Amino acid sequence: MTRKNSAVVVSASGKTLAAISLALTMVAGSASRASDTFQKPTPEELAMTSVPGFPGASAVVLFREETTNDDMHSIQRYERIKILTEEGKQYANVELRAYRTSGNDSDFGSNDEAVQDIQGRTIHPDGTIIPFTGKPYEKTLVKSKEGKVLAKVFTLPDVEVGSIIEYRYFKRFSDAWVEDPQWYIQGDLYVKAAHYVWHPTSHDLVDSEERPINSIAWFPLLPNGTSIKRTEVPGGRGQIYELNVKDIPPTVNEDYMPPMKSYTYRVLFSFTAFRTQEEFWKAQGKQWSKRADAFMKQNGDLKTATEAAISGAATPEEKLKKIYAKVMSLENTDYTRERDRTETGKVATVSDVLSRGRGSSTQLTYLFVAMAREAGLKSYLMLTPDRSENVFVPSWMSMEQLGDVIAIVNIDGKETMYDPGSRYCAFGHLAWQHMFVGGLRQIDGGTAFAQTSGDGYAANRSTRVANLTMDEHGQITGKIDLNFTGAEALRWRHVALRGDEQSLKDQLREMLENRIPHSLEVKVSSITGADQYEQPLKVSYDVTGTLGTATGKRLVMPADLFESNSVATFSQDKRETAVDLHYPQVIQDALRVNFANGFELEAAPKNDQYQLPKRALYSESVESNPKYFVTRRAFTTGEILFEQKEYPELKNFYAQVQTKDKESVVLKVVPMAATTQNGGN
Amino acid sequence: MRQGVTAFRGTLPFVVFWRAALMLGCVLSSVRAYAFSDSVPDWVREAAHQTLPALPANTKAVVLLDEHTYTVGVDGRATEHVRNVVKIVRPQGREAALPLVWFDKDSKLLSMHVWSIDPAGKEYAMKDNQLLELGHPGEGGELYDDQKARYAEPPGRDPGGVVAYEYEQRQRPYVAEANWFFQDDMPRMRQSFTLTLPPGFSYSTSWANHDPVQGADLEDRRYRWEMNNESAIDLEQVPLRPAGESLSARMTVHYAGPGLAEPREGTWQGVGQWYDALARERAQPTPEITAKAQELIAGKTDFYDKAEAISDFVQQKIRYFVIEVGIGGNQPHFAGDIFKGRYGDCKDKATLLSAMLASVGLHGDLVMVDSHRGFINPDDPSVLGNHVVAAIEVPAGYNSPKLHSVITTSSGKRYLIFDPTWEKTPFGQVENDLQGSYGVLVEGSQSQLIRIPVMSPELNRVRRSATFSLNADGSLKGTMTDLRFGDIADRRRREYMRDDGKHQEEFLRKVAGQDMMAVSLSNIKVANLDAISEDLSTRFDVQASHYATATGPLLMLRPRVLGSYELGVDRKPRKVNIDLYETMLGNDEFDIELPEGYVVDELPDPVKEDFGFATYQSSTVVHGRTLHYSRTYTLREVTLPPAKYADVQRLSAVIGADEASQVVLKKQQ
Repeated sequence: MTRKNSAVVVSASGKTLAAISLALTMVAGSASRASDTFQKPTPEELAMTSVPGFPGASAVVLFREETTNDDMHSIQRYERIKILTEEGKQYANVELRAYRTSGNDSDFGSNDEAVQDIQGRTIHPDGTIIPFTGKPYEKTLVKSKEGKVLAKVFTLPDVEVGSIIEYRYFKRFSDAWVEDPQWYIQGDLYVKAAHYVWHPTSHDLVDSEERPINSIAWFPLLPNGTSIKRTEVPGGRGQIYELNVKDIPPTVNEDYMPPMKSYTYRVLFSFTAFRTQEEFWKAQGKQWSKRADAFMKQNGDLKTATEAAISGAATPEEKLKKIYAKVMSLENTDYTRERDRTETGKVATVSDVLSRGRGSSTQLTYLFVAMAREAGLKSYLMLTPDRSENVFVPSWMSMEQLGDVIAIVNIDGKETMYDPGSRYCAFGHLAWQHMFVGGLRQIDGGTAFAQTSGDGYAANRSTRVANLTMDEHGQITGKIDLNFTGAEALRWRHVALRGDEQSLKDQLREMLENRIPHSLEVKVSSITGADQYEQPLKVSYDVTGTLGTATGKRLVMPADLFESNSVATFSQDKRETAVDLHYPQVIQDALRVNFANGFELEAAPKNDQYQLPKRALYSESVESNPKYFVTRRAFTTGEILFEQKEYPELKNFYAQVQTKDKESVVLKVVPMAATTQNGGN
Repeated sequence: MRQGVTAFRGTLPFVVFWRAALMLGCVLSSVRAYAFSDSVPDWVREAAHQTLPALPANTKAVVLLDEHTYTVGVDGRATEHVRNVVKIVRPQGREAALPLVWFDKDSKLLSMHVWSIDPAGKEYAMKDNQLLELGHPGEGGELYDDQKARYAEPPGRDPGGVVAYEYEQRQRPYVAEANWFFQDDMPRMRQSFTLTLPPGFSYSTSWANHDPVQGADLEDRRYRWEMNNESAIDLEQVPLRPAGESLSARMTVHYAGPGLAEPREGTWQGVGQWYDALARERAQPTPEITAKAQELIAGKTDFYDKAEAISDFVQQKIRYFVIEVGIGGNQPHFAGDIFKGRYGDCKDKATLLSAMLASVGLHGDLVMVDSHRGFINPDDPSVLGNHVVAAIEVPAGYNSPKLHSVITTSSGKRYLIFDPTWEKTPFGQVENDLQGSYGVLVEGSQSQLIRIPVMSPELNRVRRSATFSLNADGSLKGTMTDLRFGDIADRRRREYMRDDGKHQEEFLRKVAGQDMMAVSLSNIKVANLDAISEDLSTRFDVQASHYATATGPLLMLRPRVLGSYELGVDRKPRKVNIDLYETMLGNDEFDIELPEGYVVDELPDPVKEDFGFATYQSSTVVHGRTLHYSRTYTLREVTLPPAKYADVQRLSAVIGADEASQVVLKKQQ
């Protein structure tokens, strides 16, 4: 199934996301009740026991309707769900949330919402109808001085497997508000049919910046062949937006999915003061850039700090390295502190960050760019998404997509990206969450879309070396050394920042314990480089225990220690989404086992090499000797994104690799030569 | 489905409920200005500046002060005043510094104040309107509960920071009992509990996990207990750990006096009588209940058959759904209302079951229990607990091999313990997390403490059988059948019922992927998904390339193809009981046809170990060209004392070694 994902902007007579500038007059009476009657179930619906293609589905949405009427200040929702299994009965418990400002328990305040006119019923498979006659309970979920989140809760009566449950209600807003709808079409349940309607207001509106609203934009992600239908309201009173969808599958959840969660089928409307996407991004970018530049404004403190930082540096790159080191030396409070709300508003410029000696990821990135500018380097900011969560889609006109910021510095005519907000990220690199994504960057005189750079596999390297000795009783002693550079090093450095030495040690021990045979006991003996971002992070362990399986006359040992407990990475035969491996990397393992008299190498795996041409490479070799064997393994993934159609090939490759990883070295137990015993006669 | 329910709702400060707060609080978040203040009370400063002893390296936070003053008024209504100061030692200790106090209309929160001192020594006092109020989030069927919590996220919650709070709260009028918890997962420095009684009142105390201590008489009916420098119970890194609640020391104060109708005198009988007074009248059958019960037992004459029919109805047809208002946290709804709406919480379901049984001449009572095994402590009679199940009286002289969870009371009556809330445990049994724990049988003056029996391993079993053929290239294919009965089938049933058939396949592939790298499953057939009195049957074809690994002339394979019984143990000295979770019987029988051109060069040695609480035996033999792997694992206990840990470690090693054992085939010359 393919999706369309372009934002559409059309002119409108004037709508708003924010407060309406004029006092609106509520149309007399309540919203129309003409459509309140429930649908009569068809014989097919009553007899339905499953959803074709989705065996075992707990329930199915037979029909959903959502009608937003701005001038009525209301949304009417209707759900009609068929319960197919015991598990599906949970959908009979309904919780409907609304927001209310403080002090308005009885009055309907200017920002309040209310859930009203709840009706519902249960229909048994034999057609018996049990109306919901109870009164919904109202409970407070959260209450603060700013307001409270309320919920009306109820359960539909006498629900059994095979029942159809249905309910409808109105959500109302105050007269001062209208709503641009957000239609989330795809969810946990299969949807047989749904109907969405929006009647936008025809009143004049302004946005939060007091700009007149003159357009409606929408961001559609819809199945092929589905589109928004627009109908002109007679008398030039605007348009009605309508959407009919059918047979929407439930959302997919697979391992190694790309950041898809923001891209289920949906239509997101917004009132906007902009006529085109270009206009929107230009204006929003300008506004952001102006504020950022104000935060980075140059002054004496910044100058002094910059001069001190770059003292002794001869070249622009040396200067920038020293500035980077200065910023890296400051506390990044995103990792170390609870959100420091007590001082919100006290950090107005990068000088405040310098004087406090700490700042958030964003503030530290601003500081880095400000100091680079102070040092005479052309430097810019760039907004990016967090790729572990979402990617940037320009056609969705929302700055919410761009939650992170990185730096771009031009040295000798070449621009390089930096990530000073990801503490201990190596100079000239980005955290993987910021690699290979689109975003919005500063340019001279404005902003523009841009793409972030990314590292190759060589920058993300893990080496795992075990050097073990086995005595004549099969007891193992030795050391394991892990070295990380790039993404894995950064991950562990952030673990260290968020916790403390003890928690870092505990987690590093648990990580290794989960990888190697449980018969081995490991203790972290040293950690070096946790705060030295240009150096590898090194972890050493002491190892004791036993290794391998004794069969009587043999000892079967794992050829690769570090994949002993691995499970199949890709077990499913079919794949519905692409595969995202996050970042390219190389993992190199070496296992050396020296064995005592009494053991002799009988057989070892043959050397092998597998590859996905130009994308991934694997090799394993065993070097053997009467007194030891050494296994060397290297696994390189150069590509990170595999399309759905490439999945079978990827799965086969991983199956080959992981099967090879499970091969064994076989030692023969040989009788010990007779030795002279001391004592006794 | 059962989620922290009913019999008692206490106020446990610093209960971590912050996720809900963060989830919902974000809706309300805005810039907050905290008062920089010199109004932090002296008792906070004094506690914050005390010299601490050397703390264990894994200490996340330490309770510097915990002071409870419990005052009973002349009308029997009590008020509790609490002061608490926590110091954050490590970043992970932040969660311990989120003050949270539950209350409802019967346990009104009269005041609450929160202060903090950040690591730099800056002091903050939170304004009243900066405290949040949280309601129950309504997950797991708990749709409505009128309990709310006052909650704070004070500033400065970083290592070295100190958070303090003080509150005063009315106590429930119908619970003449105070519970003092003076041990948990944090070291606790200075602690006290002060009791003040009006004239004419008396009290007694009982203790759990601590020797009784006489309170100091402060005169004028004021009594004080102190528990300083209590060590933490840290179970975070402990495998097979018991519930922390079962180990923590606590004191219960029972008081009685004019105006308190049901003195419990610190006995289990008193506890049962107290609950009987709340619940008994709710279990009256209505004509509709009687009609339904009679319909269910129509044509049945045997006690078991009748009780099973009614119990199945309540277990399967009454949805778990919580509505609690005030005393409703303790008191069931009327059986008629539960039956009409077809929903209720645990005490409601047990009450309806009791009413339906009564309507057809059978007898059922309620049993107050707790899902944390060992929390209800025989030494400490109390209303504490979080769940209610049913006890169905077995007629005198009646016997049936299908009755398993049967207890005998001190008067010689027999009861079948059954949990109508636990939807996946067959009638006649009780779920594993209640086995071996205590409960209070609620039966008027005959109320008493009972121990819920541990079920026989045969009632919780898994049987795997398979026939495979191995090719010379190492690939394996065959058909496997997995039969499960009892609670051990519970997880599978829930997994299979979750989402749709694709999830079922995915789950099984992941299970197979634990043991085989390149595996594909097909023809998956599941039977008896809803029939909990039958074996849950899963049958599938399996194909794995490179299952056996070739190394030189050798071809090696693991005869234990799928499935594991390995126990997770560590190598540290054991100080706390071992919780084995459930009794069980596991049996695997696998046949593997060997490839032509290979002969068996070596087989794993047979294993036969008996530890008393568990036995494990395994053998691999060859019949012609067929390899037969057989093993049986029997676990007979749910808890063991720490002294048995060496045996558990040994058992784990034996199982682990057997599961990894290899058959070595050699190419024929």
